[in-house]
Amino acid sequence: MKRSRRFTLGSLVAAAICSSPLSVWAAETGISIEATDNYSCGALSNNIANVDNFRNRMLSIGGYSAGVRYTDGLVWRTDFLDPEVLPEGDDTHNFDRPGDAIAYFSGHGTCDDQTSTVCYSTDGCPDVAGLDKRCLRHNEFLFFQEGRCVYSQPRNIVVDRTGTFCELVNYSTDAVRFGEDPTSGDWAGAGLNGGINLAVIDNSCGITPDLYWPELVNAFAGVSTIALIMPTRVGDDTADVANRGRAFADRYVANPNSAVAPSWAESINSVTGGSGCAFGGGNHGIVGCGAHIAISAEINQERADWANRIESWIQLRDEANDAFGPTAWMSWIFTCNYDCNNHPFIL
Amino acid sequence: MKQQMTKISLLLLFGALTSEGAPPSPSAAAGAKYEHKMENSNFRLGTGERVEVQGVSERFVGDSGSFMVDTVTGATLAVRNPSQSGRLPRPLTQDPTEHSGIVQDYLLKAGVPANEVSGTHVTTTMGGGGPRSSGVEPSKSTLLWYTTHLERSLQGIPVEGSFAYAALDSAGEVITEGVYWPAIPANVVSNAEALKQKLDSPTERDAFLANVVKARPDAKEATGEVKIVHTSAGHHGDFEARAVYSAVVRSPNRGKAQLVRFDDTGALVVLADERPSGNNTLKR
Repeated sequence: MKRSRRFTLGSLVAAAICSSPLSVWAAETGISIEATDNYSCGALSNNIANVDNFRNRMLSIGGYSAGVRYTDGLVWRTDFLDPEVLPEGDDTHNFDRPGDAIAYFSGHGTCDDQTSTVCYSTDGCPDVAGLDKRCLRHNEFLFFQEGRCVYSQPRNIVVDRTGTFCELVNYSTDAVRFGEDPTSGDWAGAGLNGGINLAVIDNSCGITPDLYWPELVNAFAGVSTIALIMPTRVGDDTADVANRGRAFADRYVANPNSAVAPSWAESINSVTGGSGCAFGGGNHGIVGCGAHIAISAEINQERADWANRIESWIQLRDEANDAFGPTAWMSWIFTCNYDCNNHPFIL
Repeated sequence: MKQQMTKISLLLLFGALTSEGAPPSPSAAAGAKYEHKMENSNFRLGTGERVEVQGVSERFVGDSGSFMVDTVTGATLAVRNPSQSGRLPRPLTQDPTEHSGIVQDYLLKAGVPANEVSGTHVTTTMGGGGPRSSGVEPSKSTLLWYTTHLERSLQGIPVEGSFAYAALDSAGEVITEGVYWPAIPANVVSNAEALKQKLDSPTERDAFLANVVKARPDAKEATGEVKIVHTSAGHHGDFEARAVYSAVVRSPNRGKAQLVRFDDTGALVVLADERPSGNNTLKR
């Protein structure tokens, strides 16, 4: 279904492919990992083991190859920034390398999207200029429901190159662009010097419930899917566990023909550790209530749904399946660690 | 009888190999191992069934999906192929209690030890999408399926790291299932009981928590609980199970929360699969 459409769209960029010296890039098989434990703003202990466990498990069967591995002081802010958007950026040699299929970051994030402002509906949340807002379920008793206001503050990866100073990488509105290459084209204004088809951002408060568009759309430049962790209650967050990456990779080892985005969502089922959720359940690598979410963005719904529901681990390596833009449709799939169907997170 | 004795000997040997030093108390029972088998599973492979072996993974494969057995740990994981129409499964029910009842019956009948199951809970898979042209709207995510988990406890102490779960679609077919239910040596269970008793005694508790804070000053405000923890389903090194006091320690600046574990002396516990295992690349 998608392949035929891709052929048509692919012909539009054929000239670029043929004329570009970068067209020598072939199958994208690399897996690069970056992780920080040595934070001056709150040390962690399981992120490096987490990305190692992910990649080791992925490489335990054929199909993928090792990309780069950077940890602690070798994880730099510029690793995630696109040089075409910001000259100091160097994701081309780090988190978005030509020839890589997957890049996985594990470390801190920021939770400044959350507030303690009490609300009963999204309309009741005070407006903040330039930001979207939601009222996120916080307490419930019989028919009484109370929330806390959250906003589309840019989401961040936190790095600490020197071990003395934490720096933010804003992947919502800054110069972060993933996946642009000769096949996807340069519709995102990021050149053709990227490559990844899947970005995993395993941090705290990776994305705010329901605010996927303003917080993530700028990062799509050819990448099929971005996988994140989404706390769904103010004060709750990602747990620092070493088995999340491996739980995800287990899906590939179990079935290379399985779909990648649902694999991320479902992998929460095999992640252990955490604490209970106020609405039942909990744990699964979350302290409180939260979800694994995989988001795909494309030029239309058909392609976004394909990337989010069908694209397999094998198809992920094929650069013909890169995302096209300008982005017009987002599709997502998530798995909560509790019953978020009967306890919807937005009031 | 002979088989049973062999099992007991193996369990005792297994216990001796772990780092838990205390002998088992007379009351402590070991946690039983359960390995899920393809023949006990309702997961449908579809046509063209075959067996593939890659490394330590044995896969039963068909055109509908794959059932993997980790031949080192005994963990299993069944995953469907995606429908080429893009149609995702529909839920068996909107009622998680109904789903959990059916899954619990299924997994217990398959062989998960009923006396170690202390409860159930669900996770919830939902999907949605929307256009940029409409701006940011409240999501229209819909329920795709529930997954029910059996919770494991030994002597009332939760076991972290074990799992048994399954998700069923609207036809009652298995969408995905996973089981890792390793044997837990009796001395680990008895150590967990002893640690729990220590925390129930005000004087012993204060002394223990003082050691905890000495090891991790940032754990001062954290509340914890006694758990049994073990290495994860995909860990191919030596199996390790420990009785620990586990606490959630929040970062002072927010950010990922740490799960910090202590043994009965208040010393930090790090399991084998929580250690880095790679080498950095030369930075350009």
